[in-house]
Parts: sequence; structure tokens; C-alpha cells
Amino acid sequence: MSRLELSDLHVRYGAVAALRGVDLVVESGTILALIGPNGAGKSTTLLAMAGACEGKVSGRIVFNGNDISLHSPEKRTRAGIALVPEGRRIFTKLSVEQNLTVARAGRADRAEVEVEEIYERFPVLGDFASRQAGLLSGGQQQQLAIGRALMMRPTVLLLDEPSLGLSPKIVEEVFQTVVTLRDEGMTIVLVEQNAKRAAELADVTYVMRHGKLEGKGATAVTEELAQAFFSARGDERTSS
Amino acid sequence: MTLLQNIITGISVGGLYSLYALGIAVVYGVAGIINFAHGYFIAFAAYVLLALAGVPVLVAIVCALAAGIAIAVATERGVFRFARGADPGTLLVLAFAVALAIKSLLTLVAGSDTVSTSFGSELAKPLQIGSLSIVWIDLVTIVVAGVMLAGLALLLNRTPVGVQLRAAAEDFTMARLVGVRSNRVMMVAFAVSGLLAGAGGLLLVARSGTLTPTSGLQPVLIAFVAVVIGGLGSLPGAVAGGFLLGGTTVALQVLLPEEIRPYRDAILYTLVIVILTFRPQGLLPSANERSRV
Repeated sequence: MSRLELSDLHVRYGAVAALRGVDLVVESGTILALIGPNGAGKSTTLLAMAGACEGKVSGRIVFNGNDISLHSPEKRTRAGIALVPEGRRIFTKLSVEQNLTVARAGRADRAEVEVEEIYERFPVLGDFASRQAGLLSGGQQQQLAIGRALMMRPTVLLLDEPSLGLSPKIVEEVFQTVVTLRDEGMTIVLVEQNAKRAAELADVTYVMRHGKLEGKGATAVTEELAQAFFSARGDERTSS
Repeated sequence: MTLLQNIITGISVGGLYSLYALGIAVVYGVAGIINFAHGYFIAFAAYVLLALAGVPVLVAIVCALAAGIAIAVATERGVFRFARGADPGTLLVLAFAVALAIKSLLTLVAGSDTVSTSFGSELAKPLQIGSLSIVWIDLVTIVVAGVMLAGLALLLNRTPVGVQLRAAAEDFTMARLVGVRSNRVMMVAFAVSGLLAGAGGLLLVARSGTLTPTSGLQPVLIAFVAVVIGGLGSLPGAVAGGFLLGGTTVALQVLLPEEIRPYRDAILYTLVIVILTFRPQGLLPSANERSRV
């Protein structure tokens, strides 16, 4: 059971309002996709959930009934929220194994999460366990970023643009992993540039624009939402 | 044999500079603070050593090292923790304020006059091996620097807290997002910096035999140059920068004609400018410089 609720969430970066009153409920064991044009506030929403937003944040974030709005990133991590950020942000100078073991710090119960569990899910990481993480390919780094998050045994996984810069084959593998994790009971919030594919995977999809949620639907209305996304992106092009 | 002697002196001076530089780099890497107070951590530890004259030397050394750690951790807990996330300019001004506060404290307690000490005077004698003559303090400096660098390498590579420290140095925000406790890792960084300052202070006194509240100023300036040459925020870079600076200092001292020797430092820092012109990021720059929460 892991319910995440945002109420009237605002984020400002100086004079720029990145989020303007976002209300959102992420239900347990579902994939919620956020799609929308660049600058819509999708990544900011994830960062605000994880407590890593550098802007001025106001509003309420409630996780499993507890208000975590003022909690530090590490406290939210221990509560069960893990972020796989855009660009992966693996620790490039550490080995693959050190990237995984460092995330043991994020376990609330301090139990040892064996890296072998991660290697079973992503065998390539086991093959390159002692390799410097910065030397991995983009797809391998994405697997490492997800594996690192899983080391914390989260109940909510926040995934920001996991397909960015990856080949179509690797992207499908990553998406398959996302579905598997959902089927295992994990709650997932997915921000994804590939709007159509994201909406296909998701149980619920929201379209964001100008820091607000503009539309919501189940997978059945995927096409409509994707259309909304693409038209929004077209607007962006026109205005630039 | 003269060449070998000079190489040993170069390694010794380079090792000492590496200790100074690492103390700066470890705090900058994790906290983003250009800690000008580090020089006064060095002086503080050295004054504690001198205050314990008459106490068994090993006890005095341990107390001086502990004093280095204590002043560094106290600074983090009492000052820098409250300014976490502030812009670099604010942190720099804060570091200057801390430096001045420690200097004033030392002046108040010990006075501003130069204090002489016999600590390490035995080490000024040469060790004769055939035609090779090595000053003991150079050997001791090499051993101390070697032990400190090896210990730090073990800490950073083989212990959970060390790996957390490296992760935080590379990407502090991301480290927090994988559960690394920011307060703990920050305190460890300052403690390591304080230990290095303590060791640097002991060697400084043993080499010079004198001490003033501003004795740490020259080492900290050298350390900054070494850190910038090595690549700001990079720990291996700080070590490389320290050795390069130390080795070049000794090489210039030996190779320059006597009439040009007074301009040694001018030539040295011209070389630094040349290096930074062609490689402004330093020799071994850190992976990335990310914003901090």
C-alpha cells in the first residue's frame, strides 16, 4: 500500500512559476504517466515528490497518510520513495557495485539488500560489477540507475525520461522492466517523452502544460491524450 | 646521488602539499566550500602540540591530530551547517569569517609573536647512507604523507562511509536521493579535512621549528593552487596537483642559476598560469559539478 497525494502544489524558480497548483493522486500498484511538452513541469513534479526540487515549493505532499512536504530527500527515500532522475545521474567515478551498495543507505530498516538480487534482474550489471560506472553504455547506465533505486526497496518509483538517448530495443527492455515492477506491486510515476508509449503502459495518464494538469484518462483514451500532447508541442513550436 | 636526494626532497615536499590540498579538496568536493579556514585548522593543531610540551610526544601528537579534527567538525556543526545551500559567494565570505575568528582566538590565547619549538629538531639531522645524505624530516614527511594518503584511499574505497563520501563529492543531491545522510557525510568530510590539517600542522612545525597564528596561511595558499591545478573538487587531482607543485618547486630550486633563484616562485606560478591557460579545468577534473540541495 503506497498512496501518494499532491495538493495544490506550487513550485517557483525565482520569477518563473514551474508548477501552478497541481493536484494529483497516485494510487498503489499503478503506473501513472505524466506527458506534456518541454517545460510543462513534469520533471519538477517528480523532483518535488522526491524532495530534491531547488525551487520554492508550497502545497502538500502526503505519502501513506503522512505529510512529507517538509521532509529531506533522504527521509523520503527511507519512507519508500525512490527517484531515477533524468540523465540517470549515476556516480560515474564509482564502480557498478559501489553505485548499488551506496544506496543501502536509503533502506529504512538498514537490512542488507543483496546486490545479487539486482544482478538477477539486470545480468549485465553483474558482468560489469567492478567496472567504473561512467564507462557503461547508455542502456547499461539506465539499468544501473533503476537498479540503484531498487536497492532501496522503494514502494514508489519515480522515473524521469527513462528512454532518453536509448536505442528502441533498449527502450522496450526498460519499459518491460517498468511493467514488471508494477506487476510486482510497485507504484510508478513515469515522466516520458514518448507520450504514446507511456500512455500505453500506464494505468492512468495525465497531460501537463504550463505547470498544470490539463487532462486525465485511463489507457482507453490514450490516443486523445497523445493528440493533446502533440498539439501542445506544436503550440510550443509555433510560439518559439 | 644528488639527483636521488633531490627526488626524495621533491617527493617529501609534494607529499606535504598533497596533504594540504586534500584537506581543501575533500571539503570542497562534498560541501562546495572553498575553506580558507583550513590554514587556521593547521595552525590550531600545531598550537595544541606546542601547548602540550612536556607531555609524552606520542600523546601530544594524538592530541594535536584530535584538535585538528575537533576544530574542523566544530566549524561544520557550528557554522557551515546553518549555511548549507547558500550561494558560493556567501560560503566563501563565511569561510573567511571563520578563518579570522580562529586566528583571533589563537592570537588571544598564544599571542601574535613567533613561538619557537624544539619539536622535530632531531629530524633536521641527516641520515647518511654511503654518499647519500637525506634529512630525516623528509623521510618522516614521506612516510606520514604515504600513510595518510593510503589510509584515505582505503577509507574512500573500502568503507561504506567512504563510498558515500565519494558519491556525495560527485553529486551531492543524488547522494541524498539514495539515502546518504547529508549531515553525517558532511561531518565525515570535515573530520577528514581536520585530520589532514592536524598532520599538516605537525609536519609544518617539525620542518620550520617556529609557529605564529598565520603560519597556516602559506600552506593554504599552496593548497589552493594545487587543488586548482589538479581540478577543483577532484581528490586524485588534489594529490596530483600537490606532488606536481612540490616537485616543481624543488626542481626549480635545484636547477635555476643562483642569480635567478630568488624569482623561483614567480617562475613557478607563471607555469601554473600556463597550465591553467591550456587546461582551465585542471589536470584531473571531477566528473561533474552539480547543484546542491
